[in-house]
Amino acid sequence: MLRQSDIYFGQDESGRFLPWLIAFMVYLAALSIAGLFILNGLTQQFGAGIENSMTIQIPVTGSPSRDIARRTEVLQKLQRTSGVISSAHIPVKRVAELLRPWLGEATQSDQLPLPQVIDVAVDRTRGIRSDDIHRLFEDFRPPIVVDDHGEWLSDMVNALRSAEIVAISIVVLTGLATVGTVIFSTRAGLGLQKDTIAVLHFIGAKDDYIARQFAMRAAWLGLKGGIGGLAVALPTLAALRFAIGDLNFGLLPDLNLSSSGWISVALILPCVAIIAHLTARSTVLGSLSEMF
Amino acid sequence: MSKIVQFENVGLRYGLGPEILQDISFGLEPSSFHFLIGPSGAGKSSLLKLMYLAHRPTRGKVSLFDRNISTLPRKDLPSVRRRIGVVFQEFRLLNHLSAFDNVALPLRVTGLRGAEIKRHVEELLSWVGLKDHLDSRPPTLSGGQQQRVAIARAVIARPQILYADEPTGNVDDRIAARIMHLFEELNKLGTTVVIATHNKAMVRETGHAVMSLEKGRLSLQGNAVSDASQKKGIEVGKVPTRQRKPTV
Ligand SMILES: Nc1ncnc2c1ncn2[C@@H]1O[C@H](COP(=O)(O)OP(=O)(O)OP(=O)(O)O)[C@@H](O)[C@H]1O
Ligand SMILES: [Mg+2]
Repeated sequence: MLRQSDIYFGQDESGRFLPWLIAFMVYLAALSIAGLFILNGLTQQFGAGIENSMTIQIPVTGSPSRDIARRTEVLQKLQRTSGVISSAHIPVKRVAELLRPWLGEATQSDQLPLPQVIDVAVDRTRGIRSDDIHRLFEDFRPPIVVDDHGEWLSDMVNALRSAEIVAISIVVLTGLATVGTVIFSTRAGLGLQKDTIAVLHFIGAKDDYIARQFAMRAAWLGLKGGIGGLAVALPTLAALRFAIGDLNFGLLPDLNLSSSGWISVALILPCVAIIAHLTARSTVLGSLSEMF
Repeated sequence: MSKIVQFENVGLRYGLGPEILQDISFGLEPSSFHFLIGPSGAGKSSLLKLMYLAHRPTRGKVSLFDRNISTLPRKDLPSVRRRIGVVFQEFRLLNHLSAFDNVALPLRVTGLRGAEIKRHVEELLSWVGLKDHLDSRPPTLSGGQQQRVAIARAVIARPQILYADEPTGNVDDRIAARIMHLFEELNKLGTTVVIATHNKAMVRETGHAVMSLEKGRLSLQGNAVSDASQKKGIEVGKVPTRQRKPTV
């Protein structure tokens, strides 16, 4: 069992306000960290595959043999183009499937002329752009259409990255605010405990012995605040997830928090205790080193 | 034999105030016993504070165990302080801790734990007549009982020097005599004892060496009963006191 501390913290107000402040910080940090993981997941999902691909649509001409000839020419030229890793014709059936959510059963009918679609995997490090591909087939009538997913996706990914930076900033700021709060309340506590500290010094206590008691207390208050903050943050996250899940976007990628995300959110608890412990300890050691 | 406490032309002032101790010079032999007397405000507590490392002198040199405390690095303070026991004038017990825990503190700060502490502390508290008050917190004890807890805390770690500031101020004659007896016993075991007091009768009865403070100056040095030593102005430490082999 833990022996009662040599220092009586009962009259120290920080025992009341510190956990509340820390709970608030932990709440913010938990939401930010969860957001960070979700954003990161999105970035990866978007980035993977699509970021390095383009699609070429070759509008139908009305003559199936001409269509096939044009398609073959496109595939052959692409093969010789530097920066193109591979290209493949997507069968009409598959195109129809992909379009069904928008066009419904109309895709089944022959009334709707579906373009031939070619999926092109590119290596962007070699500087290939959609314009380059377009230029290859300038003389095609009706003209081909080149969709560069990477271009708008990279905008999307950039936006996501900015959001990630904001989330990281919030986490860092809450950490700094926690450190500041602990320093402040520890200094106040040192003032209140002047007499006890003097007595402990006179009977031969080392600074470290005294600092440890302040540090243990700060860690305990941090833990209390952390548990409080998480106790509110976890239901918030669950509620958000439920609300988003309910919207049932077919388009949106997976918005769930990964298990490493949940673990990171849970790790806030030991982190906040350790931060409080170390901060209080170094604050006390710093102050005591100026005494005789 | 080298002095366990040595003052050379020591002066002390609090902040920017006047010098309340002036030109203090003396040395104490190991295992000696001294009274420190003087009227209220003469500076007895202040002199003790210099001796138990609560203050550094504003001038002059204070040495304890042959170490100059003005140049002592901070990290060495605890080990020096552990060789010193202090009974403060106002006790300075930790009110939220039991009598047991207060007395155990000097052992705990050295890292000791558990059964050994328990045996030592209970033994000592029984010895000072507080066997039934191990768990009592200081505010629930009488002044005399608190004083004995303070004394037990000062001696539990077997210090080489024991300072007591007005240790019989709050107790009746019978308990005062018992406390004096305790100090005598500790002195016989080799502890250097310095007691600040107003109690002239006690000083006269025991016949130990006396340091007398008057307005911040050590005006009278020597044994209160030995006029000869006073006239010669013999240094306190050189007054023949009972020399006994210090035991561990
Ligand atoms: N912390 C302090 N700050 C300023 N002045 C102090 C301080 N402590 C003591 N003094 C002054 O130093 C002088 C000596 O005080 P000290 O407590 O040493 O006297 P004393 O001999 O122990 O008196 P008493 O017998 O009443 O305990 C007094 O004038 C007192 O006002
Ligand atoms: Mg005094």
